Amino acid sequence: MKTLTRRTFLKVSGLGAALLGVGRLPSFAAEARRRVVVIGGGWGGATAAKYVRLTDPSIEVTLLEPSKQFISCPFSNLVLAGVESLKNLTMNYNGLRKHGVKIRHEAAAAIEPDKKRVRIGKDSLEYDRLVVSPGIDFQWEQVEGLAQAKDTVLHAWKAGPQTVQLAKQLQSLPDGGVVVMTVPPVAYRCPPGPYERASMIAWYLQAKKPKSKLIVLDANKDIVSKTGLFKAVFKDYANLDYRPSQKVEKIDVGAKEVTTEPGDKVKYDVINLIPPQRAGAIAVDADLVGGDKRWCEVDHVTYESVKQKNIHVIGDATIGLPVPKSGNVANAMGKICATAVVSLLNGKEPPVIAPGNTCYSWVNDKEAIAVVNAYKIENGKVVQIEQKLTPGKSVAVAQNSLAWRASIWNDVLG
Amino acid sequence: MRKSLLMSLVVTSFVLMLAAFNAEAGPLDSAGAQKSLVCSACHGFAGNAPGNTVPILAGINAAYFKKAIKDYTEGKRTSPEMEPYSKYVMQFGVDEIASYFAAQKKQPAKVKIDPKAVSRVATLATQCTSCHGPKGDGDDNRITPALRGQPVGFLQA
Repeated sequence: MKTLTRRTFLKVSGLGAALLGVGRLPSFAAEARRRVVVIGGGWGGATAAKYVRLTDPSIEVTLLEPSKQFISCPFSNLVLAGVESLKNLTMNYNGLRKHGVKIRHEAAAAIEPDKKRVRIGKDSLEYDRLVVSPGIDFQWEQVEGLAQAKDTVLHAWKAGPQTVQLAKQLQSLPDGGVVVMTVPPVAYRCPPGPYERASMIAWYLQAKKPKSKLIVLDANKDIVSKTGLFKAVFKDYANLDYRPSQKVEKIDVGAKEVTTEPGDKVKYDVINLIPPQRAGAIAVDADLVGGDKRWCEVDHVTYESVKQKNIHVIGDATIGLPVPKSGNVANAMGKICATAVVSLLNGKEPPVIAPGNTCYSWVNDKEAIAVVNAYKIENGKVVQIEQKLTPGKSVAVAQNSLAWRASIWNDVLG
Repeated sequence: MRKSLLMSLVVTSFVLMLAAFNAEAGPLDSAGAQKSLVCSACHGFAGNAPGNTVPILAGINAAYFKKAIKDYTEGKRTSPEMEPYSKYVMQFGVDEIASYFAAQKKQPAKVKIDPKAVSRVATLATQCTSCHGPKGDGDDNRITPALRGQPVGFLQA
């Protein structure tokens, strides 16, 4: 009997591979090496990168995120009031590396959908499926005088250095000084966030600067989220002056004054101007946004862009689903999108799963309120099953929020 | 002839190898795992919640899980968090989700326990142990949940 030599084996197995229709062995290797690229390492992107690897470790995942640190926006309003430190909200990406996610701390310069690749400086990265989780960018041009003053007029709407700077400005405010914060028109990141911030700043002023006051200029007609609960909370703060339908149109840094749409002029000592928002620039540049030029419409089951094939968009950059732009929703979208991407790469039908939303807002140094939303999929669209609010503020809800953050941070990064 | 036999053997092994490669079951391959994806935001991966006030679902008695979900949907048990999510679970498949969590290995809560407090309440806890077992392991026959290893904050709430 003829023995099987290495030479014969190579010859025959090469033929075997050819018969299988996978051609030469190197091309089989290329086919097995399926590539997913994720743009953005926030709540959505980091989760998606991790869960693609968890679901199918044979898929190569590269995450593009310029920052080496993940800083949680949830809980950053507490830093402004001095009841939390930014250090406790700052994590790294080592957990994702343990799952085999390749991380490049670089910004994606452009997406080339026709070539299925992402440009990074002079380099480029090819993908089979791309997940875009770019978060939000600000529309500076919507407020006259803001573009020139954007380094000193703080938004603190992306947790990080601006959070610390705004906290310092509040600490330096003389007792009797006026703080003005502005709420952008919907849609924007974290619907209850501005009202949590207003509560926490009002609590801080009440405790530390009793002669000071906070004026909230809201572009919207009423409190956007947890309306009844926040109205009850605002009654605790005699120093909080809430003014609806006051869209800020102009800022004059020299005069320390903002002008609103009805023409009111409001003076400030400290300003926190949260600008109008749209999807992160890369999504706009890659033509992933809809007619409004602001947000990205997606399939409600796979999160694939309705405009570009093989590109999925998740998190705050999306629109059309009846869900808030929250960290919890971005995390849910990351997991659902990951299973969809893996299914599609394996030629399977993606599972039909809806997101959920659990959202806590702190209203003083010990208590919080919450809203919870459950969803289902009906005729291919996300539909709300139920929304439930806490009866009021409580210490127990605040404790639940700490359990939530321990769990979800681990779900995103651990 | 021999060559063709050899070739078919190699081809067969190659096909089997490919099949094995594709069929390798991942931790999220079951329907229950996929339907419970959103749960991990609060209850941790595979139901091992790291937080102090959220119960660990890994290893939970499936019948007890289903009873708890039913009670939340009917308002017999209240929780702003679980009332909406219980309807989500019913919508997507309580049986598969219950089976998934029941099959997961429980990692006890990492909360430090005061041994003196344990000895102080050991006699008081007899009221609990009559249903939840001498070590708090629960009783599957009576659909009584295990309390052992659950986070202190959850047991207090």
